[in-house]
Amino acid sequence: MIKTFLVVLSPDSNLTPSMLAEKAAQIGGIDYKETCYGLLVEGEEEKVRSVLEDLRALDPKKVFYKQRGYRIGDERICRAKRGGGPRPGYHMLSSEREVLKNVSKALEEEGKKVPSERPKTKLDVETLKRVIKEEGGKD
Amino acid sequence: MGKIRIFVDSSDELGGQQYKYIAEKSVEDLGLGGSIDSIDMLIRVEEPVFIIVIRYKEVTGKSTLGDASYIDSRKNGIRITLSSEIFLGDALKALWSKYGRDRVEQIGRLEIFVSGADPEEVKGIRLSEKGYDLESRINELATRIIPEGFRVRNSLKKRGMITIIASEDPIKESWRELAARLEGDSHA
Repeated sequence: MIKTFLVVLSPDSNLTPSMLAEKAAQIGGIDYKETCYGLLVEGEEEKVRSVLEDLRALDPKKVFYKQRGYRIGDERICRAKRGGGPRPGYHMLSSEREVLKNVSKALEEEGKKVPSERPKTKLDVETLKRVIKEEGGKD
Repeated sequence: MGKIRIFVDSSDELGGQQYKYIAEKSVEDLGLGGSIDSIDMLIRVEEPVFIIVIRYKEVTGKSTLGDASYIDSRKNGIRITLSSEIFLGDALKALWSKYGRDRVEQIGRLEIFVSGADPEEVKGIRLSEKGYDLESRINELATRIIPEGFRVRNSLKKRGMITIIASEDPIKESWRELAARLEGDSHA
C-alpha cells in the first residue's frame, strides 16, 4: 500500500533538506519532494519505512517523521490548484517543529540520571533577614 | 576529459541545447570526465517533466594511492600515474599535506612527481578519510543539471546507472514508462 510520510528536521540539526533529498536519491525506488522543513517521501510502505530509517540514521536524534494523510501534490490541499490561500496543516507542523529541538535534546540526554528535585521548604526568618540586609534593605 | 555521450530529447529545441551545455559544464566542474559514459535527458516542457539517465563506471575500494595509481621510481623521486582523474584532487591534497607543495609536482593530466619520496610509503597514503564516494558525486551532478523548481522526484538506481524523474507535479506512470524507455535507449 502506498504511504506518504513527512520527514522533518529539528531546527538545530546540521543537516539540510537537500542532504535528505540526496540520500533519498541515492537509495532510490521512492518518490520524494524536497521542502523547506525536510522531505516528503512516498511509496510502498515497506520500502518507505526502510528509507525513513536510512534518513534518520544520518542524524538519529534530529530527524523525525510522521505519516501524512495526503499524497504528494494531492489536489485537495494543493494551493496551486485551489488558487492560493494558507498552506493546509502548516501551522500545526510549524509549531511541532519548534518543539523538536527540545525533543532532540531530551533524546540526547536519554539514559542520564535526572537530578532529584529539591524538597520545598519554608524560608526561615533568619535567612530572609540576611537576604534583606545584603540587598541594602531594612528590617 | 574522456568522451561522454550527451543526448537530449527536448520539446523545446533551444532549452535542450542549453541543458546539454549545462550538463557538459557540470561534468567538467565536478571533474567527472573519466567516470561517466553517457548522459541522456528527456525534457517535456508542456507536461512538465525532466528525466535524466546517467551511466557511469563504478569505482570501488580505492582508498589508498597504491590502489588508485601505478607508482614507479625515478631519479630523485617517484612518478605516480593515476588510473582515473577523479582521484587527482584527493591525491594532490594528500601528497601536499605529507610532503609539502615544493616536493609535489603535477607533470601531466594523470601524472604526479614527488621528489625524494619512498614508493612503499606513498602506496599506503590514504586518499581521503571516507574513501572515494563516486555515487554522491554522480548525485550532485544530477542535482546540478535538474531544474531547481522540479522538486518532486523519483530516482531509480541500477548497477552503474541512475535515473531521476523530476517535475513540479506528482510523478505519473506514463513518465516512469518514458524513463524506462530512455534507459533502454541509453544502453543502445
